Formats: sequence, C-alpha cells, structure tokens
Amino acid sequence: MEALTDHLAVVAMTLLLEWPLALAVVAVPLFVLLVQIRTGGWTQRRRLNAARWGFVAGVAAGVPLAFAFVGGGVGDLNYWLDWVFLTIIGLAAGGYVALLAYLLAGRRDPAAAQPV
Amino acid sequence: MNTHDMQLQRRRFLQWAAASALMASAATQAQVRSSAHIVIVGAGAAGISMAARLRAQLRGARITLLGAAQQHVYQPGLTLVAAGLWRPEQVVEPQSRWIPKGIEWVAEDAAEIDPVAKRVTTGGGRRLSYDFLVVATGLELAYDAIEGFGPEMIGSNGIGCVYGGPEAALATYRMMEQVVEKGGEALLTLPHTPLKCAGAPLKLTFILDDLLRRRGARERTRVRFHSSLPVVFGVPSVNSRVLELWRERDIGVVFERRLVGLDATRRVAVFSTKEGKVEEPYTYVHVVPPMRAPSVVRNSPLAIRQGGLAEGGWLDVDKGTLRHQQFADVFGCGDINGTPRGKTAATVKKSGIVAAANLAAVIAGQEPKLQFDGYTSCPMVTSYGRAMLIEFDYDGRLTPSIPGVEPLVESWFAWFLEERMLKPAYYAMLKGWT
Repeated sequence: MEALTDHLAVVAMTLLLEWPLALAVVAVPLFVLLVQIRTGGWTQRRRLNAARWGFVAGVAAGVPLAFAFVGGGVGDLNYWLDWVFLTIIGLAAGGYVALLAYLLAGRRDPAAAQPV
Repeated sequence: MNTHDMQLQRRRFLQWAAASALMASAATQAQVRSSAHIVIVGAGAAGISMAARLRAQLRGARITLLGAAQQHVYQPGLTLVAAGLWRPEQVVEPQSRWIPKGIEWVAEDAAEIDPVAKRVTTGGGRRLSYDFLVVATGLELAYDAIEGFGPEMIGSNGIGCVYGGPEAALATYRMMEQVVEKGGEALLTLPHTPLKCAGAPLKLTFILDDLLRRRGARERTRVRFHSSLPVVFGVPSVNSRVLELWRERDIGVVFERRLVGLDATRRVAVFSTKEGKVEEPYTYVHVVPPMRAPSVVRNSPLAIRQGGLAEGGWLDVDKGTLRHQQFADVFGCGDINGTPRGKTAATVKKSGIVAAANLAAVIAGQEPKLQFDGYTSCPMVTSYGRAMLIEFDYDGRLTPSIPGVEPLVESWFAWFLEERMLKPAYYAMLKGWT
C-alpha cells in the first residue's frame, strides 16, 4: 500500500511539474475527437489502416524520442528490465499515435459526414 | 476570464486532482490534537518535509519553520548539472513555493539553541520558545579544512566541486571540459568525514571517464581517485563493484590520502598520508571538502560528545527513533543526524516519516513507535545513460525497493529514474505526500 501511494504521489507531482505536456497529451486526442464529431467521416477501413500505420510510426518515433528525452542510447540497454521498459515506452507511443491516426483518418472523407 | 485566470484554474484543478489521488493515504493518518509550539530549525528538504508531515498529523499545533534561504536547491540534481546535462536553473525553485500552508515561516537562520531553556535565538536576535524542537539544519562544508582553498576558487585553475551549489556544479563541468580538451592529470578526492550524497564524488569520476572516452581524449588523461579512507564507499558490496568497474575503465585509486591543501597557481594538490605530506600536480581536481554540523548545533549541548562522530558535532539522536538522546523533546531529521549512514534525500524521505510519527506520538503522551532502519538510496551514475540503483540500510544490506532492479547491475532504467523521476519524487516528499 505504501509503495502504491508513493508511486501515485510521484505520478501526481510529475503531472504538476510537467502540466503543459500532460495537458497536451490528453487534450490533443480529445480535440481531434471533437472535430471529428462535428465533421463526421466514419469510414472504418480507412481508419483501421491509419491506426496500423500510426502504431508503426509511433513505435518508430517513440524509441528515439525516449532516448532524446531521457538520454542514453541503444548501447546503454544492459539489463532485461531496460528492454521491458523500452518496449512499454514504444508500445505506449505506438498506441497513442495509432489513436490519433484513427481519429484523424475520417477527416479526409467529407462525403461520409453525418449530422450530429 | 483572462489567460492568467484560466492558467490559475487549470493549476488549481491539477492540484485538486493530485490531492484527491492522495486522499486515501492521508485519510489513514490519525490527527493528534495539540496546542504545542513546534520549532523546526532549518528549511531545507528535511525541514520543509517535516513541516508538511507535522501539519498533516497535528491539529491545532503551532509550527514555526526557521530558514533564511529564499531559494530552494534540488541538491540531488547537482551531479546532473556538473555532468553538463541540466542547467543550474533546473535545480532552483523559490522557497515560498514549497513552504506548507498553515506554517509560520521565519526567514532567518538560527544562531543559538538552548535545549535546557527550550529556546532558539535567530541571527536577527529574535527569541523563540518551543515545546518541541526539530533540528533539520543540514550540514556545513568545511572549506577551511583545506589550506589555500575557498569556494570562490571553484571554476578556476582546474578546480571543481559539485557540492558548492548550482553555479559551482556548472563551473565543475567547465573545468572537466578543459581537461577533456587538454588532457593531463585528473584527481578526484574523498574526505574522511561523513558526507552528503557520498556517491557524488564517485559519479563524477565515472562521468569524467565517460566524457573523456566520448571525446576521444581518454588516452591522454590519467584519472585517479584519492580516498581518505581504505574504501571508496561504505557499503562493502558497492565498494567492490565500483572498484571492479574502475579497474575495467583504467581509473586508478589511491587509498588513505587526505586532501589538506591546494596551491592553485602551481596546480598542485597536497595530500596527507601515513608517510607524511605528498604533493601531486593536477590539470583538474575535484575537491570534496570535509563536512560537519553547522556551529549552531556543533557548539550546542545537542551535539554528540563522544565517539567517532564527535569531531563533526553531529546531532546526538537515537538512530532508530530519531529522538535526541538527552533532550526528549528534540527530534532530528536529515543530514544533521549523527547516525551511522545516510545523508541523502532518500534518507530524509524515509526518516522524516519516522521522526514526524514519533514526535506526534510523544506529543500525544505516548512513546515513539516507529524505528528507522537507516534506509538510503544512491543512484550511482556510471556513464551518460547508465546507472546502478543502490539502496541500503544502516547495516549496509542492499534493500532494493523496485521489483526486478538488480542494485549492482548498470541499467538504462536506473538512469531514467535518476534523470526523470527523482525530481518529482523529491518534490512530492517536500509536500509530505510520500
């Protein structure tokens, strides 16, 4: 329990210290979603394809971004936990970009727009 | 609503969200009703976090925090400034941002403590009576113990010292860059006294070696570490591991050589050895001054009078309860404590929980309940991108707290913790959240 509250406190303080970044990470997909609801364009296949490519791009960009943000490089991965941690970062970045790509993909098909 | 108001609203919302997330832990702490006056001497990491914890645990008590500094330095970040990775501004915050609400902050340092009369006198002559006292003064760098050396010399003639503050840490990096450029003799030192963040001199040795290698200048620079002691680190397993890594990296070690003087114009360091004084020329020297308790404690009845810690005048507390050995209404927290190990922010965090809870128990008329095990932590940076997350207790036992982390193995994950996560953990501690 103590470890959990410790980690929660650190996460909370990280959000407070980095609040512009934290806000942007949450706000961007919400903003895109809002725009999509207004403009419509629910073409499922296009969106799934976009999400797949978005995931790949997110993983590809997330790993070097993590090194740029934190320091170090592939040569510094020395322990199994490093690989697990980097995989989590890559998957999270991939998932995030996939979500954005999924939400954005519909905008290119105004013919499919539906009134809200 | 203007932009400023919107920013304020956003910040309040985030603060509310953070506070909500922590309500579970806060709710488990039973408050003690008291009208006692508690004076906390020292407004560094230990003093501020103790103030926050006592504020949360005591209802109705008057808490006065003494400390003149208007800026708060995140000291664990100084090695990253000295490594050229962070700017000095990244480790400095306005003090007022971290002083807990409901606390009386007196922006003066204590000049005298009289534990018999239960009174503290400030530098400005103000007298404060107390019912309970928390001593959290931190420690003092004894620059005067090295002949010919003063803090104003850091950043010139090849002299570095990470402990001198944010600007000194940056100046230390500049001095390291000079030796990287020119090559020559690099001397790094370790004093004989207890010191805060005992890993910092070792980290800077690793960093210098890595910097030299990355710039292709390692072969033209001899790197040697001069320890005043027969070891470079007090925990045997860590000492062995560091020496092993240094052997691999061709970093020489000389034991039982104490830096006692500097001739900056000749760039010569003077060491005291069993055989007498020895002079060593240098291109770069990392000076770590001996450390001691500030005179307000050292010259008071609160200081240890016997044993190995008497020389430094450290606070005479019980290592488990952190209560003073002679004065039952005095507790200690942080670097000032005369305990066997641990002068780090990690120790402040864990020992602060114990000290605050035990003081609250005493105020409630009970005996101290919690025992501190001496926990401390040292993320030992071994290169740009790798570190070892070393945690241990009074007995030198390794006590890893994160599942999967192997304390004596270099990892990028440990580096990530050092570079990104310790700072929020530190500020969460100041708030009393952890």
